[in-house]
Amino acid sequence: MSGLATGDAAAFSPAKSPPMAVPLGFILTGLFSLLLLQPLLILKAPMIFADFRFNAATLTAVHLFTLGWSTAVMMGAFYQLAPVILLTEAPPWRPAAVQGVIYVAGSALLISGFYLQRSLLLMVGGSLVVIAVLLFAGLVLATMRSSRAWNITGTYMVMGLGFLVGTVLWGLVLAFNFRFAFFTDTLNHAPVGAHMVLGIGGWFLLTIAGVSYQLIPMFTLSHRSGDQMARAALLLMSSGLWFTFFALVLGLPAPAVGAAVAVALVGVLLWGWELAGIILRRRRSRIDLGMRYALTSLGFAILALLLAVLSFGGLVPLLAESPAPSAVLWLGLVGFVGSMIIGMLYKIVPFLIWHQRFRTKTGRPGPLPTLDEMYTKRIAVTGYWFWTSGILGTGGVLLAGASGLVAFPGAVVPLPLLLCAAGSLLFAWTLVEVMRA
Amino acid sequence: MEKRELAQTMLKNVIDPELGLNIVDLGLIYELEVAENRARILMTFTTIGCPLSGTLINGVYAALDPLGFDDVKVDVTYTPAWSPDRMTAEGKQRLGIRG
Repeated sequence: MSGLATGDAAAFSPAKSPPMAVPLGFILTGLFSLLLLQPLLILKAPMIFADFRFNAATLTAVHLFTLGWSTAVMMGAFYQLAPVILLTEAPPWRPAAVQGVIYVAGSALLISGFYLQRSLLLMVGGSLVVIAVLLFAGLVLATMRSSRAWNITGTYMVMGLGFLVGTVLWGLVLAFNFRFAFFTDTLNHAPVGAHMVLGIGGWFLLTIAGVSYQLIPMFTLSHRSGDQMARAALLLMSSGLWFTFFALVLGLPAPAVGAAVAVALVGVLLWGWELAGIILRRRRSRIDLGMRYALTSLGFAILALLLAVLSFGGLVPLLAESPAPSAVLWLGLVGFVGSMIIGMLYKIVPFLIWHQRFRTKTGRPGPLPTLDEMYTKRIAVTGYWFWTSGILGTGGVLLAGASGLVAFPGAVVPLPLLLCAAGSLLFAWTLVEVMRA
Repeated sequence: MEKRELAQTMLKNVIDPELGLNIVDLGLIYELEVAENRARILMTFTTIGCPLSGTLINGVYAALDPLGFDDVKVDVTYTPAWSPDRMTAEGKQRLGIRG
């Protein structure tokens, strides 16, 4: 696992962490995007959840979630966590800040391009996002090279970065396709499916899986028994996902795509199996709010997977015209990825602020707040219930036959979406409270 | 009170803000040697790559500062790995540790 031996404490100095402004800038960008997403979901629900998913509102909402919220937060978390998890030097903060500015500008242009249906904005914004992601990958990988405690989480993070680069490069091809129409068959959803496989399966799932091996035992006081299963899961997931991507791009027959998806699914199951063991072996009986979100997120992932497997048995039919794909994508993307990120932010943001405000007071007499004393628990827990019931409610509504229901948004869809919005607002309120602590 | 005991007491001022427990009751202090007005601490963290490692180390220096040691040396080890079994009975009770 690590060649780290007993050594001088100077190697563990807090200088290893980057300045707070870098990760916090990404996190605030993400929070702004999450809040912006809520009215869009509510007001455009009939379009977003309609059978035809490649309309302006859906593409805007999906990219606001994936680029504006999830990836922005994950980039900030990478800059913060990679140095401490892998014991490396902090990435140089000026290039990281420049990367952040390029990323935010590119994402804003790209998302605006989807909303306004302007191919020029898509191409310029997409190009900036690609530049920002390549810069991000370069900075993080350069940092990781100096690791003195490499572990399986680092390997997952590197693989996840590879998928992120693949996602945005292929996304750029799709952006240029809006203007130049390389893919003439507009009914063929495989190119977009390939983009989703890399982004959702590769970048989000692999990164979350890798980080979970480090953080879940740490927060639950549990332990893992070796890396063999994690390595096997990584091999299966990453090879299965890349094969799925190429099978879709090359237009291979459905059985080839199905076989590749099955390989990735076995990897997911291995990860889930090991994670379940870690959680069951936990020594800390109390589940705090961050962990509660994380466990709920895993529940949404299980629901989405079960639904996908039971309903379709493969990825290509997942894009077929039917109400269930919306429910699968909702639970898998917003439920799984969104809830996991919120849960991790309940750990990361209090830590960042605590570290900034109180680190010089540690060890001196006098009480200091614990991380979960930096916000009002009642508000945060209420936010959890709003968010969770909103995700479940929307998933249920979509599963029950979204196409008919979303035609009357005032009657059905907005209620659970309003709950999600309320949950997001309370979450944002809590983070503001933490920042003012 | 002997200076070693005093140092042990002062180290209880170093609180892990994630768990809300001091590093002594958490069992993070493996060795505490006090001799000739010098202190040497061998400590660990709950996991390799603990984000609080640097903060806790600084906390150890700050906690021992009032005792006027000529030299304080903090070493870190991950062998043997920390486990909740290393916590004191009080620590286990406060965190609701099972098993």
